[in-house]
Amino acid sequence: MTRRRATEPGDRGQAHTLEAFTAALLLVGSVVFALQVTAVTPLTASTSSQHIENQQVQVARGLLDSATENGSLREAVLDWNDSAGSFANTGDRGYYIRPDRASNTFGAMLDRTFLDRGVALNVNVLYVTSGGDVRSRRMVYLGTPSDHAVTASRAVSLYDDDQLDDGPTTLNDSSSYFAPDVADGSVYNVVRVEVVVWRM
Amino acid sequence: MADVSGGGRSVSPPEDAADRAQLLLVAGLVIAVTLVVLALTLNTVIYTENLATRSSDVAGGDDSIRFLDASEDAVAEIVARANRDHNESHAALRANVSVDVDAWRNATGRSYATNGVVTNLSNRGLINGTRMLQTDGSRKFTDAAGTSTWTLADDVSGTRQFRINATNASLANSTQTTLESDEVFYVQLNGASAAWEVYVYKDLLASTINVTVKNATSGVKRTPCSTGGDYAAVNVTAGTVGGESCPALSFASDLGSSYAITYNDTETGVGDPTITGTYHLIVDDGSVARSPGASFNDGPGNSPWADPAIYAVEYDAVYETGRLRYSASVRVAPGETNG
Repeated sequence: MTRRRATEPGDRGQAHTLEAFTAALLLVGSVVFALQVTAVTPLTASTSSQHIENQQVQVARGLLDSATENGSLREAVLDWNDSAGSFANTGDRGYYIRPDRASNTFGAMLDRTFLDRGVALNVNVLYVTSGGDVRSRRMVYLGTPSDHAVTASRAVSLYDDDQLDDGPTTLNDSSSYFAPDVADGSVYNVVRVEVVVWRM
Repeated sequence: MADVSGGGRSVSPPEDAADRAQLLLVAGLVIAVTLVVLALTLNTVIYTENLATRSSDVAGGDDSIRFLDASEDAVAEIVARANRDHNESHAALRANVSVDVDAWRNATGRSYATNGVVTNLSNRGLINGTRMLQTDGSRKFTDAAGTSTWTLADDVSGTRQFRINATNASLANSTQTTLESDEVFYVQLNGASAAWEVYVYKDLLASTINVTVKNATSGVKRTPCSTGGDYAAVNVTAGTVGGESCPALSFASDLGSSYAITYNDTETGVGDPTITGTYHLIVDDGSVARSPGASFNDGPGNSPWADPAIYAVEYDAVYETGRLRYSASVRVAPGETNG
């Protein structure tokens, strides 16, 4: 009995140490596990948050609304260099690589609203061809939108005698405007300006 | 436990082990149930957040209103453009407007279709009217034959874009109390149940251009609106004087469905003008343009003249997506008051 009692505390000491290690591991493991299992909810801050998408689509709509009201959307669509056959000041590309490169109010509005806040955007102009197809023309292009991009669009009616930006040329007299005259009367075409917005 | 139970033999170890097994089992169950409840709660939280962050505009109603807005703007512009041209007949005008509205409908229809939206405009009717105007700013407001008091249109139920731009220097001097005895220009809108008079004059005391509205039935004069400068822009239908709101001009709802528009005292007894300038109005009575008589000249530029015009366009707009069908009956008559 005495021998056994003498050896027993030694055995238990090892067991206690092992137990302590196991407990420590368990604790650390639980902390790691708890950190990893935090659910990704719609409110979790990330670039693809539903909240942010809703916000961005409303901002884009509001921007298009105000641009329609103050006439700058129409001005931007008609900001065309007839001899170069592209939007004014776009160079060889034919589209703006930043909205502020367009020296018109709409470009400045886009720049202040989105780019200043780290939000990327593309602007496409959808128009109807003589054959009745719908084509898209890039106005501003910052790159391929991500999966969580949102879009907002607004129709702009163009008339035969609308003046292009670069002088006395009207849409009817223009030789290079991207949208064709699709009607006999005074309506020239109806384009839709589409703004695609996503977080960088 | 065995260790603290004293130095003697351990107390019934089999019984003790059985106790612990039960405890373990119960604890295990409690933990399991807790985990399940936690999982459910977390799921509910996530789903609630999901619902809460969804856009309230699930069906895309916002865009249908925007389409309606765009169609109203376009139709108003089409009508304005058609009216601006000097048209020979209402028939030609109606044809032009219809062609343009159709063109707009086709273009937007194709464009929206790429987003899975069906849009349509169907024309319900065009209301003929007459556009009357004087563009010669130095001319008196007499009719083409030089008559001082004359009727522009009789039996109209609606007037829109009624603008008078008067030259300050030509206006008669008066005060609000002596308007009737002084020879002051006024527009009379004389309906079956009510008559209103709009006086435009230079106020002797304040040296401003004043507009006083008088209820001709009761004789009560409203507080005048005033403006300064060389010209006074009076928009009778929009209710503005010099670009600022003039509440006194809101009387159109009183006039009823048939009234006459008359210019009175456009010159003094000796032939001096009481007002010179330009004016423009469109009434919903097409007959003035068809038989202008002696009051209006023929052809544009020869003030005053009357042209056939479209007063209003009525159409049905449809905007349809997989989740929403929106249709609205729209009447477009830019610059119209309720009268």
